[in-house]
Amino acid sequence: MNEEQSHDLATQYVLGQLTGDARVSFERALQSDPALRAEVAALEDGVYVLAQSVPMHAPPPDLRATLLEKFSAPSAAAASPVVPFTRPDPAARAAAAISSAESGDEDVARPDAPDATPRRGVILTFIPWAAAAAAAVFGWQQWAALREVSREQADLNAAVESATRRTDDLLAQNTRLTTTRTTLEEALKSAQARLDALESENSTLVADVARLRDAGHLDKARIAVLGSLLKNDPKAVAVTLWDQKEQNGLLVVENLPALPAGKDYQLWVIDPDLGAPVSAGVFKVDKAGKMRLIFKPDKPIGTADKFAVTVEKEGGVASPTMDKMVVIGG
Amino acid sequence: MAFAELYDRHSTLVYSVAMKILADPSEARDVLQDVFLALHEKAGTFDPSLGRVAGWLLTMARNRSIDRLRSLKRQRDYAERVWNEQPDEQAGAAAVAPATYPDEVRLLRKAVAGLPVDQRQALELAYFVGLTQQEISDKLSQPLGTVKARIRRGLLKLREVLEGLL
Repeated sequence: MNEEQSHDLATQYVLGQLTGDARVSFERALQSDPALRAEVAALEDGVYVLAQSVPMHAPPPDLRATLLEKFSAPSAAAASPVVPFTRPDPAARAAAAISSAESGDEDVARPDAPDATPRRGVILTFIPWAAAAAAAVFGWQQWAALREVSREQADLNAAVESATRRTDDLLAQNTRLTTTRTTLEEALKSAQARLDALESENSTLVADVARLRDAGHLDKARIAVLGSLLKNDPKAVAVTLWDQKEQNGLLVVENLPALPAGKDYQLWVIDPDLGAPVSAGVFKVDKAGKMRLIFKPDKPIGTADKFAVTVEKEGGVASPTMDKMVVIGG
Repeated sequence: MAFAELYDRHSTLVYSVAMKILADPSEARDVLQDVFLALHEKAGTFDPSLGRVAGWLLTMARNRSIDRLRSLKRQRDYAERVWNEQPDEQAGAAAVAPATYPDEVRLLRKAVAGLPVDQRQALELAYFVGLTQQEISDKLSQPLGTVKARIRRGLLKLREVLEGLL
């Protein structure tokens, strides 16, 4: 809303020409815009002066009593001619002063006059007007001060609302940062667990190697790295540690994809003298694609030239399915 | 503030505004009664920080009077009367002699009377007749922007007079 629009809407508002959603929307803007409130207050003052320009007419005398009777509230003003001064304003002054003038026509200016007694009801009805008029004489400046306080209070309310919104924003930001921190802490914890697992695995492998070395097998062992043949799993890898004398070995695999139900990985040892690959057992991998297997080929191996892993039906097969080979090396 | 005191302070102005718009003592009496009944109903929820009681009462009186004016289909006749600058002769109600008005009120009335005619006409058509700014533009054969400017300038000029009194 630019300045021209806000002036236009404020004018329509004070003239009672904003209705429905437009009015609700404008009043919402009023709550948060001190400048707009100041504009409306200035225009309302103008409207107030305009209203004062009408010819004054005394209201029907019986209506006051009718209304008070309707509310079942005895006329406090009538019970006491002294009206406490609370919030006089130009309207009060005009109305009270005019009523006072009217009351003069009704002898109210002389309430203690002897001839007032027979008309007591009428006189008491008008006494508060005279009292209000007297009080209103002191009222202009106080009215202005009260109005100023009211505006300042509205400004303060707007400032409090703004601060509250800022606080809410900061709290929301803090919540987001806390959530991010929690997520990062969980990721760190997960990474630490993974590191611990790798260190543990490494320790196991080191222990295996040490055990083999101690048994004097390592000198005679043959280590083969089997590379991936899988396009989707290029990081798949397997390592074999083959002891020719003992005719057994250790297979360690990583990053092999988990197999569907009814399928197994099968390890093969290829000896050129035997013509056909010799099965060395079947295995599955865990969720991380890992597995460690101590294997022993089905037949004596003269020269373990290569090792390979294929995917076969569960339990294994006699001859490898060559197009289902996942790793090979030697 | 007691209801009776509010009535005593504001009923004359409320009734007079209704008379100005409706020019009918019976209709104005109904408006006065409606306004103070509404005030009584809202007495428990009225928030003084949102505006003056007098302002609230005036707005209520003005809006209800305009509603009645429209329902009585007299808007056009009234507009013609304001446009032709006929004096306010409203028979049947107890008119208060201007000579008895307090000095401040006379000063405010003088300020309104002293407005340029085009500003005063636009203001009266908007406030007392209830025409929209577009309708005033059509009636006065003036651009809408000119009418808007006249109304705003007129209100701010009247405000200056009030500020001078405070």
